[in-house]
Amino acid sequence: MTNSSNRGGSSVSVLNDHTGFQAHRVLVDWHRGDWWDKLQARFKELTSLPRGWDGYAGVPVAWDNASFAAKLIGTILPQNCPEPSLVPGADGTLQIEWHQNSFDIELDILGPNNVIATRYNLVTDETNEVHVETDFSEVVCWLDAMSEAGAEIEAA
Amino acid sequence: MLCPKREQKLRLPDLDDNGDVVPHDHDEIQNDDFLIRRVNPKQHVVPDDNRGCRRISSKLFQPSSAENGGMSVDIKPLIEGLGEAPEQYVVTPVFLGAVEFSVDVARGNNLRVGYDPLPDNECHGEVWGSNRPNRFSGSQNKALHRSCRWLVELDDVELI
Repeated sequence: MTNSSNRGGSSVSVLNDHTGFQAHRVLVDWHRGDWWDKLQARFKELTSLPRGWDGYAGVPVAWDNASFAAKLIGTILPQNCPEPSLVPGADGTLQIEWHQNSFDIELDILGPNNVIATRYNLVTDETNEVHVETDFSEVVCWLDAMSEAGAEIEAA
Repeated sequence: MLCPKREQKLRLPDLDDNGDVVPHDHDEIQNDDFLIRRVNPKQHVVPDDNRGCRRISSKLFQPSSAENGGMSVDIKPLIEGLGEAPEQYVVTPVFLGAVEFSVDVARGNNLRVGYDPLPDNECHGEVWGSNRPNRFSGSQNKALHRSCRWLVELDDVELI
């Protein structure tokens, strides 16, 4: 996983509540504009979805997958990266996605270190898809390009 | 279960040792039949700044990653065979949206369409991948997404 000075950090914590039962929270202890609180609330919502939330037999997002997604967001997103959307799968997986600055980027978190990453460039009509386990350098480049395109649009 | 289009029952699928349906392509589900996929507006809809809209996420068209997992659907002619309106059947009690796509599109993209009746949904089916049942390629996902149409439309939400 790529580390860079202009990227944040995150941690995942397991909390014990006063009842003695383990209470799990996905913590993204890193601030990236006003969408940080929303993201943390969204993780809580996704890991608490009721069984059958999709109209079939959907289960909540698995703790391991949510934790990995939070860590990924905290590690590889550039500082000026726009807010991602988090979409649950019926099987406890989740997808991180952006549809901004002429790019569609989707990171389908099938499990920790098991990610299908897809990028569609609306300008060139080019699609890239990679299966990532540990080396996210290509995805980092995609996110940098999307974020830089946003900065250029703002500057124009 | 009677289907008025064919006036015959769908043959029950084979089960594995765990009692789960074995991925298959059911020869009694016809190419011109339609499959319904329920949409949870709070979970499946994302903002799309590129197109200036809110839209359905591609994640809606992914199978379960569990072994032999597929993508759950409702088989439209079976609902009609029960004498029920599909538009009502798939949104009861809380699911506010639904899209549909043809069996022909799924099979035309090397996906398998099977029957997987559940205790609480006898019209339930699955769409499986060809090589790996629990995985759709990007092009298969996109084909389903691009071909689908609203059965129960969500306000201010685009399909793509």
